[in-house]
Amino acid sequence: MEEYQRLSLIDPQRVANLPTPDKLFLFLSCTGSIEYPGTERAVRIVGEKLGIEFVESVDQTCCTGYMLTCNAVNPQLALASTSRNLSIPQEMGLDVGVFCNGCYGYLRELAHLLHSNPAFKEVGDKANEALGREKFRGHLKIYHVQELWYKQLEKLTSLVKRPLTGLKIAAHYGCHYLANKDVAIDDAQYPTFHEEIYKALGATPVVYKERRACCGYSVGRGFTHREETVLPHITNKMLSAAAAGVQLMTTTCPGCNTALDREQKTITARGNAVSIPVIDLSQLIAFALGAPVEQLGFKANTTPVLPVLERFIK
Amino acid sequence: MKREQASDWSLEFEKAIATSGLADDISRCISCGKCTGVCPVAAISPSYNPRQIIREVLLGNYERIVQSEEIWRCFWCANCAATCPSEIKYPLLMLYIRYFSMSHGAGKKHVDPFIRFVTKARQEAVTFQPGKPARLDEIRALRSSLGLSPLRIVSDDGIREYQKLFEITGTDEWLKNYQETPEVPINLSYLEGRILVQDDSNSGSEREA
Amino acid sequence: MLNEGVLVIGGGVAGMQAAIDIAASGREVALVDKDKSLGGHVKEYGALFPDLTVGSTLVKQKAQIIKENSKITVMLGTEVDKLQQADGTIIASFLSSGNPKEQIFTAAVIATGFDNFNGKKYGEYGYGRYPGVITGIDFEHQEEAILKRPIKTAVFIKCVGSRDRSKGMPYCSKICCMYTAKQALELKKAQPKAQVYVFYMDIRSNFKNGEEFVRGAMENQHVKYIRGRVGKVIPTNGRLLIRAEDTLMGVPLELEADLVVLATAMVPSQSTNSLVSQVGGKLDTNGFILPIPMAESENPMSLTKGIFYAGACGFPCDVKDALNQGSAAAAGVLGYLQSNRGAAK
Repeated sequence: MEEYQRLSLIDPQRVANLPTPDKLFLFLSCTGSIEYPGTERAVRIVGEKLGIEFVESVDQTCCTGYMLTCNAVNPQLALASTSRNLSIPQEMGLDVGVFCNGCYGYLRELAHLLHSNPAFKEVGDKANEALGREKFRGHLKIYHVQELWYKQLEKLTSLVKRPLTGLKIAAHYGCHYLANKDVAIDDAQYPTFHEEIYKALGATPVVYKERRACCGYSVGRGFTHREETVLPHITNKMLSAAAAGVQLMTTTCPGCNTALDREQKTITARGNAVSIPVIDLSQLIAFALGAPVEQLGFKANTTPVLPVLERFIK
Repeated sequence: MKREQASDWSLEFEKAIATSGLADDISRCISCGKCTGVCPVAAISPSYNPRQIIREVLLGNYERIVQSEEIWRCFWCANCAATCPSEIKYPLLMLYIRYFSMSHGAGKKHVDPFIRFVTKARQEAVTFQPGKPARLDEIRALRSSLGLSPLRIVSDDGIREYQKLFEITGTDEWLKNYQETPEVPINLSYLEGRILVQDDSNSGSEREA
Repeated sequence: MLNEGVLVIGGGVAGMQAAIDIAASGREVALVDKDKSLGGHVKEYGALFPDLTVGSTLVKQKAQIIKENSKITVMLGTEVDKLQQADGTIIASFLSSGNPKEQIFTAAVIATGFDNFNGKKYGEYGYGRYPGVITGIDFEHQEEAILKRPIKTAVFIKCVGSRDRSKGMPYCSKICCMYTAKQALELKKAQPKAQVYVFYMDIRSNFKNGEEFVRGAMENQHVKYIRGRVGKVIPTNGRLLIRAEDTLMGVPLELEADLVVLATAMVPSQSTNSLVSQVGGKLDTNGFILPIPMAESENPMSLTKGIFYAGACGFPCDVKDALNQGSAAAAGVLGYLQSNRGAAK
């Protein structure tokens, strides 16, 4: 039995409590929209196959979490924009689906702060009032799409059109989903639900030494400490994946995807040749479900994706 | 060099953090070192040590924190928080510490690179939208081929509202202050291994050994 | 039959000792255990701190005394389902192979012991995932086989399921420092060339000769103690990579091991809660029996009228302490019966 199969720490109660919604508000990611637009497309394709309609709003702005955690704005701005952004789905009567670990973590943490701390709530309420918007009441639910996909794993399995037989896939879970220990469906230390999804798609999950190492890119250290810490860290991570024979890696965060995909060019140029395409989990699922490959936006990737997926396209 | 003086410590620091509403209860820290053991930054740059930073805060050694280069290294990956037996939300503490340091005029060089994103986000309500026309064309072409709008656009109303948030939360003023405040020269420096040395030149230029 | 008898619930070392001491006064005792044999956890333990008496030897000795005393009726495979107080008596209903039956007693001792913390709750250590990771309890159960494994480096991780509020286990489990030192010593004696590391936060050796025992492991057997709680165990190169901080040096470190032993904590036993609440006793926030303040009870092991407790159902304790508490509870029972129910028949 493979290492990841010997013990599952997935919380069955939390999975059972997840909804199978018909309709969700899709919270758009700035990084996703710009760096890997195929992810957003893939989320919609998978949603459609599972009967989830995603609605967006042109009024939704950046979640402001990145600028907050780079210490580049007054923290009150992040509270106010969370309050404002979440009042949009609240007015629509919808819960929220997010496909970026960053947006997910910031929205949840800031919504929690708004909800639990009267001083923070006042900042949010004052902002919404000044804009003529409803007060943020804090009752709507925020889901990451990856957990909604896992919830309907059986249905996904039945929908597979391109079984990914023999493809060695490894996970980069991303820290800002798993760190939400109060709601995350899997263990923060050794999660396995992505591996279960790969198996359902017919692929061969691979675990590698640094699978729980972070991408190195959150809070902008890629700009301030790239040489000092970020590049050595990513090099270490990607080389450990290469050593394990990983052919493809998935992420659940466009930010992580940017770090792990784009930096391979520099890592290779500096003498550690590595070429592991990195795509979003939703892109992988959409591909296995038969979505036209040109709809998945793999052109955006620095490390070419098609060489490993080509053989599954009829 | 002189011995560290406990009389120089200040309890105000811990109090300020407790009232910030972000990272209360750091006094729960049992200094077990699990955070540092899993920290990807400490693994590469061991003078950054989350456990020791918590101790500095608890003891009130705020001067050393304010002038620390190390605090700016944190990846904010939250592996520390995910493993902490005392449920300390270290990333939020770090967020606070960095703002605290900035309020003393330190750390600007680690914040400056992001001000351009903020300026752009204030105009477009989206972060990271590139400015270079060639890159924009690339994105437009790809997004259009996927059936998405050529660029991720926030409505005019959305942008107006976002800009209003900059106003009413005092962010515009905050940014103005930030840009007008010069970086305070630092007169302490640290060697790897956290040995305190006096900087004789008092120039603040040799902060890292 | 046992209308004047005393009920002892739990046939671990504390309950056995209580039964022995009560029966020594000539009173009838029913010693009940849900297990198929007496001795609780201790029957499966190897050498016990501090004098290295073997657990199974100790249990055999106590069981022999019980066997030879006709006043003690042992009821194995039996669970106490209900426990009630009425008119100065105690009514217990038993479940034994599905057959309920009821009996009346004059007094009772609750000695329901403890459970072992489930090491799988620490995803970061990989217990149940990597064969090289075992718990201290596994070490006791399979000591011979484990000591025969080829071990170049062994790592002991303390405080697994204790002093960890994120796991809902804020208390110190008290005995793990000592049993870890003992196991490290045994490993070192069996394989002198093995490098043995113990990762600890504090060394809590406050038992008689405890400090000397731990120092002996360090000084005579060169077990290396590193202050820091292990962050992660990762399989690599067929071995186990340990990531931790040496908090005394302030340095993050890595080392590869062949064996990782998790010093898992003692946690409240499932059966304590319902029994205690049925007789109006209380549990503390950790799920152990809440004692009556010292100055308010005649006997330190008093719970409620006619009911006493002993051993790890009160709080984690070592074997010696469990025996002491068993004797103390027996003294409490006898004193209670003397003053409230007249002399023994």
